[in-house]
Amino acid sequence: MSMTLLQQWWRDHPEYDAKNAQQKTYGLSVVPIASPTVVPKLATTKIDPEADFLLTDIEMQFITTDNATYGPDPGPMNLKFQNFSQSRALMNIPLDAIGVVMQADSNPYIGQLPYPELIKAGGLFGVYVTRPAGHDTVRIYFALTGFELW
Amino acid sequence: MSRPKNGAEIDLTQFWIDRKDLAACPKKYGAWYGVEYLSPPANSDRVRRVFRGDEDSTFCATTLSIIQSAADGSGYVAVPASFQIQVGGLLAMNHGIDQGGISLSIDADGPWWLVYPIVVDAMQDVYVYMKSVAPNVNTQVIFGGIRVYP
Repeated sequence: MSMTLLQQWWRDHPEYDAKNAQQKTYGLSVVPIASPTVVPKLATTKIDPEADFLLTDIEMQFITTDNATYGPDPGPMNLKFQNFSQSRALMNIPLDAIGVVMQADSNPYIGQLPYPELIKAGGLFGVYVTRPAGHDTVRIYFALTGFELW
Repeated sequence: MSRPKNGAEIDLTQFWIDRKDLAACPKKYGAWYGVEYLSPPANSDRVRRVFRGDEDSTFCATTLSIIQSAADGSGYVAVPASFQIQVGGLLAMNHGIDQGGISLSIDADGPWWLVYPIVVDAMQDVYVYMKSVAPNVNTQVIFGGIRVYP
């Protein structure tokens, strides 16, 4: 995450103490998901009920369904991340877009958010996954990295 | 997602200085906006509206992703194409469509960091003109950036 983005976020949110923010990573996995999967599959993770979480980066990896190796070919994949602790969707791709926000051809894929996303304590963060035809069934692991805010 | 594959990550310091009105707004959220469509017949143009700015916020685009895949969903492809982006009737980005040449080799999906944020005011339309040498390529044009609420 760009330092200038983070700095701007801290400026906008003086109610949080940047000096006491601790780095933290939440894990999130999607059960083996076949291809094609047209109806979105949703996986969520629950944030610590005692501390808000400032999400800055998302890493994803593809693993064989028997958890043996990394890197089966996932093919095209549509991902929509949603912060359920806010009233609005985190990733809002309106109109006729189908919601691809990353090309998942690298493994792992590390993506920065356009701006830090605050997930309230106890809130849910999730991802909807759909896949078009013709590729390996994969299990997907997401690592959600950011700062725990007390 | 915003992995800076191409070009240096944008430094927003100067932007926030230039747009103190936006910098002063505490309500900022990351967002992606985009569109998906089939590429036009070879060597012809196609124009699509990527998105319309929200009624109640200003969108500051910082990254652009162009993701190409086969129309049958079988996999990603890399097809040379030319793009021109217009915001509110003004040219925001010209990758050579008027030259009739191929200026952008889509062997990487991006996102590309823009050299300076593109500001999309409320209800402003963002269009993309595309010229491709191959028909029936599924193309997604997605901007990542920051939604700023007054």
